[in-house]
Amino acid sequence: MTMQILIIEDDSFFRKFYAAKLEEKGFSVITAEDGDDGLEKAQTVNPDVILLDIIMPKKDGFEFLTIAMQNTFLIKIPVIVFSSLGQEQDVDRAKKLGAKDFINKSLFDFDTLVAKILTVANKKT
Amino acid sequence: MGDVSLDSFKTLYFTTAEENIANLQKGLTFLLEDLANAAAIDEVHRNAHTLKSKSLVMGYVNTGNASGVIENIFSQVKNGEVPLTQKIVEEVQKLVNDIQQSIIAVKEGKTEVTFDKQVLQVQQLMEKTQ
Repeated sequence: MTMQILIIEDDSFFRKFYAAKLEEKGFSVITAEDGDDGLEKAQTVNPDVILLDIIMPKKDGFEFLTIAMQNTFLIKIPVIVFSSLGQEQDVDRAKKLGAKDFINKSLFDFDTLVAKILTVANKKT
Repeated sequence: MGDVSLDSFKTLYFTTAEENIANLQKGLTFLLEDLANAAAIDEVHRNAHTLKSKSLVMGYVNTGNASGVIENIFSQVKNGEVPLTQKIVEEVQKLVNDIQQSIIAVKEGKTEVTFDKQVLQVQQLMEKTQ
């Protein structure tokens, strides 16, 4: 069965770029534009893994994680956060809030991203 | 790399980069009227962050690094480490205008501009402010 990924990212360039690359790798992808949209879609589609941007309007990645980790349904979905250079503190904070891993979205390393998705999906509780 | 190439995302890059520049300019204009405008500080920080990341993905390193300088300034402002001043906003405005000109040049097939002089001026100003 095809693994389903939810990308929560406010920038349309990254949403479409990562969706196209992951579909090319055989994943099914749905997208959300911000934390609110992401919470709604996560509950509706129950994705295997969520890729979450940190800096977003409305609800940012931290707010999303805070809500998701208090939700008995959403807490079971592993989250990988998108980071970029200079965001090490943000990554630490996201991990403390429940994110399973992170990927630097500027480095364009899709093999690493796919490996991380498969790893966290296998650990899904 | 597979069938989905970076080249196929150039048009979307330029469209969204122009949106980021417009949002940066709008946010900085608001800040010139009110340096404590938290929504404008968030807007500048978020758009600089996004422009940095997508420019680095596309290989536009100068644009990415210059946007990263703006992101860092506004991270420090958001965290209360540095007070935002009129002069900082004005220097960042100049840098944003330079980045805009570079994006236009690259879109027209020309070489990416270097921002060393303007970045240095902004960084020196930040050091004086701290």
